[in-house]
Amino acid sequence: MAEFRIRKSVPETVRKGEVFEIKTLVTHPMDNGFMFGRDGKRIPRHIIHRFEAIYNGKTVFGADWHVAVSTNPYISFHALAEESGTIEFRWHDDNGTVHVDSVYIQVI
Amino acid sequence: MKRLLPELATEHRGSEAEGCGEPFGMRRFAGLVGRRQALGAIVGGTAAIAALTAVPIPAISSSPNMPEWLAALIAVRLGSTEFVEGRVVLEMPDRADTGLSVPMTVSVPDSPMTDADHVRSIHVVTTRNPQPLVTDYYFTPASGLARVSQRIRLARTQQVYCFALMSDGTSWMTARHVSVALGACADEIFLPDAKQPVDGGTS
Repeated sequence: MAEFRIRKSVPETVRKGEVFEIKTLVTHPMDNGFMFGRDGKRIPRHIIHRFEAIYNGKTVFGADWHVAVSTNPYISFHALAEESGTIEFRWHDDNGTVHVDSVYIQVI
Repeated sequence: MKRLLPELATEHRGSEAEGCGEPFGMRRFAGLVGRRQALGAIVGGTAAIAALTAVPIPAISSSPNMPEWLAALIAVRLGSTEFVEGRVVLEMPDRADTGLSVPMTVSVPDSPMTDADHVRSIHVVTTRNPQPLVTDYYFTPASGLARVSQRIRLARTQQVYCFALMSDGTSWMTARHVSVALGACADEIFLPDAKQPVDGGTS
């Protein structure tokens, strides 16, 4: 499997009480288990089945992904700015690993 | 009638229920017909699609007749059968060139997202994908706005349904018809020495 690369985009500063957009994009094959490789064998399912965003220890957004999510899953969602802190992203892989990344957000 | 190699036919038989083709038996059918006939069917099918798409089809924003199996699936998974059309908005292109990556945005724009009244979850389901479930989104009042964008796979032209559950117990839905020119499973066709029947993708 290729390297798991994460791209994320959040505003540098937000005002308190403001709703801001968070965008993430990761590299992942998201093999849906229906495709056949060049050897004629079925490629087993290998997807990220859950995504979570945790803002200052509190889960603000969660998503269950099924096989119909595209390769290199991109997601854009929103959060309400309450206080400065970290937003942690968690991608739960089918192979058991949890890819974790976080970003600092400053609330003014 | 020239048949495909028997070992291929047996290989398909085991996979028909979960293959990328039509869920019930279409793959087996494709595995057993001759190449010439399959080609004829493809050409005929393409012509039929061309004939269909040549007629301007009005954009179907919602479907009044949800399939029974979908209603049953939703009742089991979401525990609700009383869905009212409205409030939840599903933004997708009416036509997609490729089903591999179709942009999709779901939202409930008029929800205040307060502790008393917020969107609990949004669920996206398709009618003719090999696996109907697409995504489930879970929100909290701290989400601020119930609006999510993602890119999804569509195996063929079909309806996309979107269901939203609110904290006050109400349930809302919407549906949208999306035409897909080349389905998400079409890369099978382009494999060198493709051993798979060319049934995925367009229909």
